[in-house]
Amino acid sequence: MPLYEASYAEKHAVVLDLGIRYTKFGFAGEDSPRCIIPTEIADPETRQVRSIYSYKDETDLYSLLVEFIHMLHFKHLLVSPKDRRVLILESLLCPTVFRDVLAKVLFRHFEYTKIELLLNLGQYFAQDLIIRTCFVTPLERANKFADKSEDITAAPAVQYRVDGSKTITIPGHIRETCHEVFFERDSDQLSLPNMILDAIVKCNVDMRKQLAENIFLIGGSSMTPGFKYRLSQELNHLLKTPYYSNRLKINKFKFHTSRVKENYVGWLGGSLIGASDLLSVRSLTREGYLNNTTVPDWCNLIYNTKSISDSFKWTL
Amino acid sequence: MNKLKIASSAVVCVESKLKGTVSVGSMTVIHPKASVIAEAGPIIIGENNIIEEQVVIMHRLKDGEEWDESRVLKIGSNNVFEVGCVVNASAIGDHNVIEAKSYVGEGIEITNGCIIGAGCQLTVPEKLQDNSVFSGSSCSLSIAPDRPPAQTLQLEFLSKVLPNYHHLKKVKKPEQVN
Amino acid sequence: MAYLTQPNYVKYACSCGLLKPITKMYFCRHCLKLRCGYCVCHEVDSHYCSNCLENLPSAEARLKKYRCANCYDCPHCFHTLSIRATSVTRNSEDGSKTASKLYYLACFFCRWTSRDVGIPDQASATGRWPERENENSETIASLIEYFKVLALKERIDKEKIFHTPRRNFSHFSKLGMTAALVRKRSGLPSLPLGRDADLTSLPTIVPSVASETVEPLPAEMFTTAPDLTKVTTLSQRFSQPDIQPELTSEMWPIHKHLFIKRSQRCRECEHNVYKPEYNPISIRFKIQLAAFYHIPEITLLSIGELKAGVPSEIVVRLCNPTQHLTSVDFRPLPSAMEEDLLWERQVQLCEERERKDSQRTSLTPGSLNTSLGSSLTLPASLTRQLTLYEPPRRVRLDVSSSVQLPSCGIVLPPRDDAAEYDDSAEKHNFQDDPEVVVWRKSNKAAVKFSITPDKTLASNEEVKCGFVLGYGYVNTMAALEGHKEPQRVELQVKVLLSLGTVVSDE
Repeated sequence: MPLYEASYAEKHAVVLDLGIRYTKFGFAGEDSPRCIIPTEIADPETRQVRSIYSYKDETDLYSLLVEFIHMLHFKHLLVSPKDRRVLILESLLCPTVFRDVLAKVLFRHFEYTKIELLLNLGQYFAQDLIIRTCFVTPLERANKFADKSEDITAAPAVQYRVDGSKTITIPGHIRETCHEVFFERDSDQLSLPNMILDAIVKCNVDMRKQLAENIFLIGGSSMTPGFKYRLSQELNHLLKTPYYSNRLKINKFKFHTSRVKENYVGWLGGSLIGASDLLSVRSLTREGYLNNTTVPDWCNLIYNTKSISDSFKWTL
Repeated sequence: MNKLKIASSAVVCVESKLKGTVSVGSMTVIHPKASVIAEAGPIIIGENNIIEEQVVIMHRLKDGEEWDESRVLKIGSNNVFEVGCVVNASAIGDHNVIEAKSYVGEGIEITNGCIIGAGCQLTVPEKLQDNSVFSGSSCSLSIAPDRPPAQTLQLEFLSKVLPNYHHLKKVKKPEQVN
Repeated sequence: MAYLTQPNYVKYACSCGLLKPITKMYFCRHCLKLRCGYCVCHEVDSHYCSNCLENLPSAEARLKKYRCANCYDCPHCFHTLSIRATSVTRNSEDGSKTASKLYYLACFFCRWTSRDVGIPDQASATGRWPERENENSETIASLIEYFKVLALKERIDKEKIFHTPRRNFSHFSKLGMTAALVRKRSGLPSLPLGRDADLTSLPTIVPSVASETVEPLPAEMFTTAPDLTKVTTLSQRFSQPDIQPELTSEMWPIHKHLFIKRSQRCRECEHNVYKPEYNPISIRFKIQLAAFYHIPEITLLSIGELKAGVPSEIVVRLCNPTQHLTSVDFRPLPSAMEEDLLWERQVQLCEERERKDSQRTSLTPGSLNTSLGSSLTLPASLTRQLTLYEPPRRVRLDVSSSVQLPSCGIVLPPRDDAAEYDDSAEKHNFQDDPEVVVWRKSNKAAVKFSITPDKTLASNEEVKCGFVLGYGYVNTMAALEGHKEPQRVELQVKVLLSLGTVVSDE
């Protein structure tokens, strides 16, 4: 390909958000992802549809990811992956094996030039909370009608059709309580509102008020009707318990309202960054990957020294 | 009791199989190799229906039951039963389309303007909502704002063409068959 | 031998280590190696709409977000929508009635129509259907602008710290392209001219305001059951990611997603192994280096009764697809240890090549790129990039029987399409061993050999056998490139046969 022509065909970076259930995939600088599809692919050997996260070992994950990303490119995005830049949005708790294999797949198999890994959690922009991976619904549609309020009379039951041969009656109390798992306190006193408050407690005193007044919910589960209302109720309730009232001097919580659908807010953040110059500064290049075959990780101290973590704190 | 009553303008091909007491309304077309079987009670077919090849409409006798003249399966008007569908419904209203190779189980009441999509298998006994549309392998249900249009052109065409190539069952008065 | 619905009985080992049927493999005529869909580089050639078969140039396709402008999918069942016409009579001004046609979109599968959601009928069949705008696109565009400036600012701050010496030389100037042009081409914001360009002023954005009050659920939520026929399913929502309608009354037709034609390229020599014609209507290929045109094809003809520990006979048919005479021979598979060694050697070779490449790039203009990298982002395609190689996998040949392979080679005559119709032309004088070759016909030969399923196999366990097939290949590419005589080379491929299950003794 002539040099000039090659430069003319500009190559947009792609932004990939591999969720546990749904994958969001699109081009950087666009306002919505090109596709939201289940994170699953037919196994190349058995032809059975499997979730990417059901991998048994490294080679298994490798072939699943190759098939999946190949499908994303040639069925949905319709661009060649070669020599392209990619921005990965990943969960804070992503297993190291997964990161390493993903990097190997992208660099070696698909010949991407640059990878940027973006941590989803703990950005300064008041993202206190991520609920992206939790799906507690008994049926995919159940999250449409489940509701959150602490009401006693159960909502009416719903008939849900499965094929033409079955109907499932979903009783009102299940519709209302299936999301309780977020709010149930287990033996470690851990529920979603507890985790938020604990996170605030661990922060600097002068940041706490600001954090509490800038709660921004993202992820598909937070789209459930009544979720925000229930969360604010729970937070205010917990604040009055002695454990937190001694530690926290906050009197109110404020929530941001997303302008777009919550399930792709995380992706959108990646899209914004991908469109900017940051990608060239912060990304892991092929050369970098070859010289040092590990992928930078926040929990690895080599990468998480003061100077680097400082540079990660770019503010709004 | 095998009584056959066919209205004068109806087109019922000889090769079709009508068993039991069946009454066919005017302008209704029954193709060859279609079967309408009245086991449990009479079947009354209304006007302007099209019953295509290899359709099976059953008024099935359940275990321990006997023929009951008063247990009538009434099929309304302007329905289309497409090739190879099997219908065991307990009642059928007007303006329905039962598409090819679909199956309607016992105890289902088809109201008006419903479309059972090609290959859909419905087995749960229920009364369908008016203008229900079932489609796809998972029989996903949606409600259409209107009922499907009547197939008047097709009916006219069939009643002109079918007599040219097939012998017709013509019964003016009620008559004992077999 | 490959089937659509049945398992693949004969598999060949690709150079990347995967086992595939011959119909799914390519043969690179330049490296003389087997390739498969997994180890070639896929490239998008052209975009087309599968409904109207319109061929869109890739720049236009990108502008349209890889969707067809004229064809739509049903938002309810994702089937293609058709345009239907209705005739209406209108009273014109002079009182006479004129008949005109109005068009709407309808799905013939689930009977969804554009009237269901209140999209007005159109006067022309090819007319533009109303589009929905994403109301947030403006806000997001301003956010993107903001981030671009912010990132630029950060980088310039960084450069001030490191004091990068200014370079007056850019290897782009040779090509008549300035750095600014390169930036523009690669979709990046242009760098401000001069050192102290004003970067203190960021574009203004409206920050999101947090509110304390959260709307509780409406009371109907607890009293009325939702009507599931009016609520969309998840797949219906996700088919339109920007809007994600929650009610069926908000579903709009989806522009049909384009399909692609793609070419496939050998990763080692960068020659195409498959290249289709651009025209979407054409199903022909410009380049089609399928393996079954180049290497002998093996078909299982008959299998004797398989009993654990008892020898039985199998007959395979060998077919020479090339225009040249070839000879094949059979060798036993390498043992597991040898296989390990072979594999390790290949991985080593791969790493060595990578090291050599990286040394080369550090000497050539690529190094300029790295040093320039901090001040100028080059589009990846501009410089020759360092290539990373994917190491091959270890071939998983888990055989469960031993094979008594014929010791002699077998000559296969070239393919002659005319021979099929000419019965008298059969006059080859091959000195075949009748114990090995069962029969011959033109370029095919049936070969018999005996296998013994392992004694340890229980009934209903699968019997697999394998061997290395050596074959002569005439490399005509050498003749084309170097004006030499076509070269004869001896190649090898590992073959795995699945013979079925063991029958029990009774």
